[in-house]
Amino acid sequence: MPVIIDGTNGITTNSGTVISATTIGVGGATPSASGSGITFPATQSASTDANTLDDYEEGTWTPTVTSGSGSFTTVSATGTYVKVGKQVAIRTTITITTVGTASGQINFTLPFTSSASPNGDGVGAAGEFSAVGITGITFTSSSTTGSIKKYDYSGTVIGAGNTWQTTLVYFTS
Amino acid sequence: MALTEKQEIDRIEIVEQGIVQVRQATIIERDGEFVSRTFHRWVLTPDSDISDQEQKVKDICNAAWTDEVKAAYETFKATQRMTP
Repeated sequence: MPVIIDGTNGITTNSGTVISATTIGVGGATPSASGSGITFPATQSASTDANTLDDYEEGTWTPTVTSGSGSFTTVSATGTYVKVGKQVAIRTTITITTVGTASGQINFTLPFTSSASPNGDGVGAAGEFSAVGITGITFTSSSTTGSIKKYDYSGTVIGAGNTWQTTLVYFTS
Repeated sequence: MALTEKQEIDRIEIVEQGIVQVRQATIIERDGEFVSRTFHRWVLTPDSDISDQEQKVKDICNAAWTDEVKAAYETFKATQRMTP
């Protein structure tokens, strides 16, 4: 099958398709030697075109966890994220070992700042299945922090031995 | 065939409110040829403790976080509470 490369049409074949057995790098990215797929540049090359996928990244981050009032004695958290264009999906696990003086809501940092405009406020789901149940996450525009709160913002969601699982999808600028 | 792993902070971004987003890449190479890359991220706000950050992160934070930026961030935080 002939392959045509020119400055107008890029790469085409006589059937109008391109077949790659491994990985394609775009934006000058070195194609990954692992698996098959599209490799984006490590630094996003942002496009203003609505139909252009210009970023993909997956990874982990370390959420910093604080409380609405007081402070935890021992708390830990892990998180994973996938960013596709401006959309970020995250999962976190927050483990409260020793409460200390902490009470109220649980705050945790996000891997990317939420968008400023249009209004970047949003909600997600959080669950602590042994004691507290399912509640929500809220965050505001240009925020680096999500907050786990009861639906009516009352009381505390913090208890010793609690393990919170959260899922959240939001947008960056 | 030798596999090597190296870690480097490959991206430091300053976004709204003086917030600094840091990305650390872990890069796997085979005989010097790139194989794969994974990322770990964290976010620093103008009120963050940066004493345990790498020097290049400290330098950027210190340059970005002027007294005006820190004051503006404190004002911004006070406006960010969502109410039911």
